Amino acid sequence: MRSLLLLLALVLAALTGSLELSTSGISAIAGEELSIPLTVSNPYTFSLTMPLQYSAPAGFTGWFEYSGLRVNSLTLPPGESAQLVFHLKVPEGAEPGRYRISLRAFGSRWIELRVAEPEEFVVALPELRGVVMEAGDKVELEVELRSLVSTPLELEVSCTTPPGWRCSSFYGESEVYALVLRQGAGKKLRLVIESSPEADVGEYGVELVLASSFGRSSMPVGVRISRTHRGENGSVVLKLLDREALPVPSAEVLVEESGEVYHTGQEGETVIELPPGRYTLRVSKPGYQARNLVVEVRAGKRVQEEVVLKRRAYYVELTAESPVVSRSLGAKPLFRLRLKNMGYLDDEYSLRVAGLPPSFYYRFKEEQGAEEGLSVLYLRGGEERTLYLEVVPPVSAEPGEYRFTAIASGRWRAEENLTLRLRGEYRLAIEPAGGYLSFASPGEAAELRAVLRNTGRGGTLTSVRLRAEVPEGWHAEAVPEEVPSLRPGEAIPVVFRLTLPADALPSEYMVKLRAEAEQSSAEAELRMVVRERGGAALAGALIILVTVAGLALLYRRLGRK
Amino acid sequence: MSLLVVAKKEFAEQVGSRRFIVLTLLTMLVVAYALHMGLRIAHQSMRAEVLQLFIGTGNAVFALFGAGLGLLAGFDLITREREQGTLKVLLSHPVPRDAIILGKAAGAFAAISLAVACVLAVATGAVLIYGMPLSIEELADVAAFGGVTVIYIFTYFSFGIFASAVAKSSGTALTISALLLVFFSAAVPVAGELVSSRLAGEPPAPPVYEHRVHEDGSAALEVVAEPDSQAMRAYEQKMAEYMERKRRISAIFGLFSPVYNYKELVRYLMAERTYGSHAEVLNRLAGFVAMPAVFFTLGYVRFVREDVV
Amino acid sequence: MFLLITRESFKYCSFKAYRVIEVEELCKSYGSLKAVSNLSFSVKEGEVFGFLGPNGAGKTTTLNMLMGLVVPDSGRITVAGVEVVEHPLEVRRVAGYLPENPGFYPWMSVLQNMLYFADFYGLGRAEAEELLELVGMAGHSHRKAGELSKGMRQRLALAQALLNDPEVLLLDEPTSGLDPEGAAEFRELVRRLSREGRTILFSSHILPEVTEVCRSVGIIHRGRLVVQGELKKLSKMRGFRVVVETQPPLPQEDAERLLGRFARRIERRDGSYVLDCPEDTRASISRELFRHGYAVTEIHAESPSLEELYLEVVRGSE
Repeated sequence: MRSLLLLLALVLAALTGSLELSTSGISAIAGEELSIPLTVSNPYTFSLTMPLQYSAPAGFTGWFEYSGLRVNSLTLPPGESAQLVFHLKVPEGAEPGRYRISLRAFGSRWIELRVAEPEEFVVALPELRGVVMEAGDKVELEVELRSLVSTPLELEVSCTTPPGWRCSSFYGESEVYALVLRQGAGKKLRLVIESSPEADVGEYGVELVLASSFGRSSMPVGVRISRTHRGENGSVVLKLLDREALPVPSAEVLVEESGEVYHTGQEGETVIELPPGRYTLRVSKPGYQARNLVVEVRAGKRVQEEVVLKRRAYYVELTAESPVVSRSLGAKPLFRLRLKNMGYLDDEYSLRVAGLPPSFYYRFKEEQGAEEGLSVLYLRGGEERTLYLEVVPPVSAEPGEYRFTAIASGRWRAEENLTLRLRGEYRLAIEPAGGYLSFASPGEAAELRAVLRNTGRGGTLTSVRLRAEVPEGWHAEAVPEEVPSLRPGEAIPVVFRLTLPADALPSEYMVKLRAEAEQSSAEAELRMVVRERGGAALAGALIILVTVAGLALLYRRLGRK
Repeated sequence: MSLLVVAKKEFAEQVGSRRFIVLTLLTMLVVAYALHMGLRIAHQSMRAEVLQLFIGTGNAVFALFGAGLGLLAGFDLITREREQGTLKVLLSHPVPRDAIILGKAAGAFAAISLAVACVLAVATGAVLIYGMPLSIEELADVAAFGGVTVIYIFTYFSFGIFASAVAKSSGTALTISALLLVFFSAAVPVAGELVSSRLAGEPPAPPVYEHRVHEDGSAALEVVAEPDSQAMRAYEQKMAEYMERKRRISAIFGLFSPVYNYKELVRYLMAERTYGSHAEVLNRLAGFVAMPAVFFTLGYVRFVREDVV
Repeated sequence: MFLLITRESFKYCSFKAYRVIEVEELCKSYGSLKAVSNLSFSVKEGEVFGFLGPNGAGKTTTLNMLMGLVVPDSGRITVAGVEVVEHPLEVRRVAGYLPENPGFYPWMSVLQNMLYFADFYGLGRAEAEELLELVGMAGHSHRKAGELSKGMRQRLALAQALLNDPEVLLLDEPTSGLDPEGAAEFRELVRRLSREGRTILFSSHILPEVTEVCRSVGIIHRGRLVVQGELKKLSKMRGFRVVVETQPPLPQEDAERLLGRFARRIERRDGSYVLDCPEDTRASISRELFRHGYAVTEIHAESPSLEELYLEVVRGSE
């Protein structure tokens, strides 16, 4: 009786199955070891001992694991279930293709296993192919690595470069040489390539090499060296300090041998590149006493020189942080100026501007947001003050470049040439002419009409490039592809020609129309409903109709009433 | 000549019967529904292999409904003539007996082909309505699928006509044909499993280290050797040989299962041709075609030899 | 319909009586059951032959063998000059058969059924309708065969049997199950067909209808032909039954001694004797009795009916 029940249960189990798998399809590569979780349960009212078996194509081997143990049979009390893991080893030489693995405990299930090409265990995105740089430059590439295998993938990351180059990978701030990828999850690496300064102009290859237990995969990056520094010579780094050991900016350095002139920066430094040899440098700065200096420039070397300059009694310097300011029409441009009494005695300076068109209004201010203007400033010896020069162009001002001079005059007079560039207000708009919803059919071309408009004030937009962002597999073409210029208020019609693939599924898609001028850009997003191909759908409906009608007719003719 | 007359009438009778029209329409509905669901999923993923979808859904439906259609079309073809008393009348005219049974088969074959063609036409229409493009090659594959399906259904028809020729009454014929159906679609595969297990011998025993029982009694298990041990490798080698031996034997039994043959052939058609060698597919095709041929021939011989009117 | 007397029937048209059906030493058994044994009979051209016998006598088996539907174990059958065992299909071309309890496709109309069978001869709607008209089914040609009454079904069966314009018509119990009126109408149809010159084998287990329709009869029982001949001759051949009553009553031994030479059989019945005599010998019998001192109080002769004969035959061979 008991055996009969068991037989019945076996038959039932063969039909219903008490083996649960979370998946029925899985991908792997040759040589990979897979872990497939499964649940075995005993739905019956008596204890069951079930052998754990599998069948797989020749060469595939597997085993069952239960709580860390390798098992081949399992006894379950009534109603109990157990979580197992089936380990499957795909043979090294497995041909790519689909295989069927069936697992049997009590009931059976099968898994479809897709074995892929071994090279496919990891993919690097985007697939960069080449960068351009100068010899000695550094370039940073972002690379995303994605695992194609289902088990955690251990990767060793390395780089091969031409001699003298450097290449390393970073994850966040840290340099990386090994990492683990999980299925589906990607990791972003920064690949930093630094070329040798000696490198000649030409093509070089750098490879990001990913090594795992499955083999090696590499991502080649071509580097084109556009300029070499070979044979170039060193430079002189000249640092000017005053008596208080403060840097002296804006000093003039004249190379007497060549007549070249250099200026020190804010830190009182200047770098002078020179062919190898001996040079006399003449250092001078208003408010300071000039000095001569002899330096030796050696090939490929940097020479550091520090020079101390002595100050005069009365001297004033007016400098602009940025002497050229660009602003749109309608704004109030502000120049940040520094007035420095470089003499060692106190002085009083009156401030004014020369060269601005009369319709322009200006004022000096002590603070950026200050209301009241400033016309006279008293400075102690060595004292310096930050000033703001606000220019208010009239409403009627034309876009363009305005040059003028800010002047501070006391016992010594200082000037600073300033440039104000007034830009037009650049605004670009693109509007679909046929609304934000359009229809198309697979395999057909669709035309999207749009109007491109310069809605800004005063500014002419130049080289407006047009393109459409379309779903994958679609093809888009803009007519015209580029509009050379678009004056304010001007509008021109444009057409986007889309070609849909024949197998595009009927659905709703997003299409982005983009216009990019040098000054501004605009985009319009519209929905495109891909309808079934009219003819095909009609044919389909017709086929169904004819079939059913034909059958009905036949039945009416032949049918028994 | 008289064969054609019988075939014509038989076709009319099959197509005009309620069970034929109901089964065909039902199959159409189920196939259309399956396609609808499949296409919705395909929509979400934006890419679809039309043919896989098309044949994949049709396959399961046809496997079930086809068996019913074939069986019901065949099981009472002769017994009903006998019960109605029409066989006596028919035979009193100069109609050779083989023309009667061949005509019946031809008529039923035409009707089955019509049903399959109609269902496939509706499915094609549905696919077209959904806007999935169908290439000529795909259409050819669908037609090949239709051909295989017709043979599949005809297999069950041959069970039916065999039963009808052997049995004295329609009831018995239905029982016999249902038994044949169960035998070939359930008993043969199970027997294949049993026989292959028996013939392949005992599976090699894995090297067992210990027998463990969980403290809470939730499971008892045999723990085997470590994966990479010498013993385990030897076992795996033996196991692989054993499985291959067993697979070969059960494949022979598989040749006698119409459903199994049908599904394998359809899978082969779906360009998943990695499942077996070319020779294996040809064998399968031979087994697939031989089954209806054998049963039909048995029924034919029985009917032609039979004396009693 | 008059064009029916053509072809084969014309071929054999001769002045001497041609035997359209000839059966010689026919045997057929199913297992241990001898369905037909050593059956021989013949039917002449134009004759309506009554094939008489109780149910299970082997009538249907014989008819099936005549149509080539059942292969005999031994014996020879010729129907309209066709050797049946060797050419079963040929027989069906020249003979029409109305089987016992014929069936039709219930879901087809009367006409459709006819057309189906007509198709085997390459005949069309015109012929089918003509035959339906002949059997009086023209008004029902669009009814489903499944709705027909028994009588209509028999007529339809007759119509389909006539499709090939047969020279010989085999009717197996054509009136069984019909109401008396229907049976009479059917017999009238048979007579009409006979007048057209067809040879008809009319199988039945009911004597009166055979005597009404047939000129000659064969009585079959348990697979054997017991009697065959023309109806008139059969009755005569049977002789007379003489009933005698005497005073004083005749003892049994005297009856046999005195009357044995006149009668084939002597039977005592309620004090009188019934004698089976080949001839009417009443005068001789009464003279003989008188000579031996018995007064004849009653003597009469009766000619037995075919029915009695049939029953007697059936009983006698038991």
